[in-house]
Amino acid sequence: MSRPVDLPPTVDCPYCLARIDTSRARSVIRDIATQEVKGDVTDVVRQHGLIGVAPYNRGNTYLECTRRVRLDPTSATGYGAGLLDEPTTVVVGGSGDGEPTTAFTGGIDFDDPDDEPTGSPLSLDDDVDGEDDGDGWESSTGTQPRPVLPTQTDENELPDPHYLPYEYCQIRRTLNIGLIGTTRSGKSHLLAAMLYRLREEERRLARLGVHVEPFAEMWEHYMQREDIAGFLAPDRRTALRRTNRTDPVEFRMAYTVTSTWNGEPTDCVVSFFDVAGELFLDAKARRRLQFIYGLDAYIFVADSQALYGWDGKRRGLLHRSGFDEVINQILQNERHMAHATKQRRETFLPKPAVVVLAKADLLLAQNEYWTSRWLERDDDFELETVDEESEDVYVYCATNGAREWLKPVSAFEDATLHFTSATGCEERDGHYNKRKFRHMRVLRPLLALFAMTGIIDPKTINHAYVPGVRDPR
Amino acid sequence: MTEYATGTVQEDGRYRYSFRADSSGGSGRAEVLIETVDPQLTEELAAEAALAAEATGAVMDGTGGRFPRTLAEYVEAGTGANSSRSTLVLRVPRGRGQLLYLEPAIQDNPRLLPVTPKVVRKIAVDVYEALAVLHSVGYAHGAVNTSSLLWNRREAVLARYHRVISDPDGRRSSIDVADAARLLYHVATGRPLSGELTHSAHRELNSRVSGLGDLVAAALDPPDRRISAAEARDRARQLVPVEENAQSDAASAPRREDTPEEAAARREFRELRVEQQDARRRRHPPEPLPEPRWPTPDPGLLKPRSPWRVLLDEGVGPAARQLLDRAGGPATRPLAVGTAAVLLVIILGVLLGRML
Repeated sequence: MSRPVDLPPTVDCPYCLARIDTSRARSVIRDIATQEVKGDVTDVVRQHGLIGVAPYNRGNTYLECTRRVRLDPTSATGYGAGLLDEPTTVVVGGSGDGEPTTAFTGGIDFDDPDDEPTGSPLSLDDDVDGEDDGDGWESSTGTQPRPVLPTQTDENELPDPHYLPYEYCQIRRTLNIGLIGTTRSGKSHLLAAMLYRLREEERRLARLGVHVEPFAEMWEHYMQREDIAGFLAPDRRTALRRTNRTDPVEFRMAYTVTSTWNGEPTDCVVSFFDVAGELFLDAKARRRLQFIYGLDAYIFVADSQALYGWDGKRRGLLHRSGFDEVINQILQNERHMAHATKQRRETFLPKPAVVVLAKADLLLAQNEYWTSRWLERDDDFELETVDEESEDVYVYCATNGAREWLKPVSAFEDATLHFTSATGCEERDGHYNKRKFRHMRVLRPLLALFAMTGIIDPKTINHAYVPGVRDPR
Repeated sequence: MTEYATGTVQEDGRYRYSFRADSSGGSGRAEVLIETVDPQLTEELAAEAALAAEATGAVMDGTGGRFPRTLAEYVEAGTGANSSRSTLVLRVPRGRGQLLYLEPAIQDNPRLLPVTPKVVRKIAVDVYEALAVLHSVGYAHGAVNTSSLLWNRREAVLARYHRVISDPDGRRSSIDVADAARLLYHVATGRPLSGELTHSAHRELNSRVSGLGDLVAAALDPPDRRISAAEARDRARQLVPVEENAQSDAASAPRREDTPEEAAARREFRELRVEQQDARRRRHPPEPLPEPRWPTPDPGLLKPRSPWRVLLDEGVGPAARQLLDRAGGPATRPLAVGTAAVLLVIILGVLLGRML
């Protein structure tokens, strides 16, 4: 079976972390508004690549990730190659109803009493269609009409199938960024403001050696959401709707970032995951959150409001941040992976993270000294002070009963901390005061993350020893 | 009547501005005397006086005799020094301090700008108030800029009339609104606005006076969507100056001493930073330095080793080769090889004879 001419033989699914055999995966067109599958273009794509699809549909073309197209993680080329050496150390993945899954979950269900291991997660699932031509692979992929988008019965499960933007699969270098934080911590507002500013600051980004453009047609898709349009429109400034736990686990938006500071232009797809905050505190929903293990960088969003109760400032947080739970899961996964591959586990998680104190305008209104030192600055692009700010934010959290927010700093190998506000003012009845509305320093955490991943020069934030970057001696 | 100066005489190269007490005796007002520096501008000044008289009359009629404080009132010829064609006299509120026209003041001292957020808000309210009145009586100002603006430390006054024009259908009024927005940008940032209002400029204005960026953006919208002077005035009244200590550069702000608890947290963070850097260094070690490449020494400069040394260090073969090399060049080599072969045969013969 031939694979699409413009795709590599395998791609990694950022949602379930499985490796997909592109010669077996279906290519489909999805409706922008409903996300439902409208048509199958597998044959066309296999013959001509994406160019064979009508231009107006190329941005809506997706690769379908189903169980039967996922490669066995134990195969020499598959995800997690070499894990068979220590089969007992790999935590078995299985859904609550005993149905096995092919996705290598790597410890996600470690402490979930509802889940019982039902077989090795390292084996390939039985084919749904049951047709076997003897080579272990099902041969009718993509050519048979099949029901689309099966009804999702369990909101804790990652939908199967799920869909990857076709163009995402074409670019080899990706940076998947996840926003972590509990419900109403301000993740979606921060992301919307961040994405908007990223589009606006073309010139200043160019000075840092990066060129940014929306990936495929994702910006148009993103802006089609009524609440996003209302939030970003100067004459409306409405609040975003709450992210539902049943919202699809797909990245909200992606940019193609061309990095030129290092001499040769390098393209990288930077994608952003934003899911309902309640999922992070719900042990049953961990299968839906598999993507957190495959993320390349993390934005931990702390709700500054949690420091204040109805009677003023507290010595401690009003509610949990969810950081602990997520970090523990990632650490656990790292431990299992290190054991399986017989490698020494690093002291720190080998990824960068930023901690963002969102809604910091509320702290400003309370005349918090440390916030007033930073929040009013228009210094998104003055990155040489990132470490100084990180230090002050650390001091602020450590001395105000918010040590929980500092967990990422001690867990990840590179981390910065920031005061930001996506709106500059408080929401009232679903609206923001148009006069007071402003995005305050929302781009700074993202640029710090770019520096920590080598997309922009790490020297701009005075950091060294960043992967993929020529290091100082 | 006693005339006394209420402000320093100013000059902008074309006109000279001097100030005196109100000739009608009002203590809250003062008069501005505008004189031409260049005699060729006399006609222009006379024309401006006529326009000022016309606009003043229209405002008086339109407002029922109450003249707004934010607009300069024409003082008719024949009173005071206004009998000369080369002098225009305007009556303005006296305010609390020295009167000054903005443009010549900026020329003398460019560091006057940007003005404080509170002053920006006041200028915004006053300028749009003046325009709202002028537009309501069917006139457009036509030259809203720093040259027309007079500041008395309490209020801003539109105090020139050289481009005033009757505008019954309001077409030119929207230009005034946009010009006032550019003026506000100029006084708020210290830089004239060139071209469109960018997003960062919008934010910059909002960071100085909350809502100013939005007001300026609305005033610079295309004419069909642009707000009127009255709407702009209402918006300007809702502007909130951002506290100066809050918007000042924190880097230059005095930093308070850490408490012992804060100092301990800071030390903790710095230690973590070092650990993180060490961890990264272990994972992504710097590339090893390339092996040093020593230059090949010139054989002629080295002292030749003796055959015995070569025999001791490297064995019989190299020693024999060296001996052959020493024996001569390529021409004598066959003779040397032959001699060696003969010697070898003799030695072998002797050894064989003894054995047998």
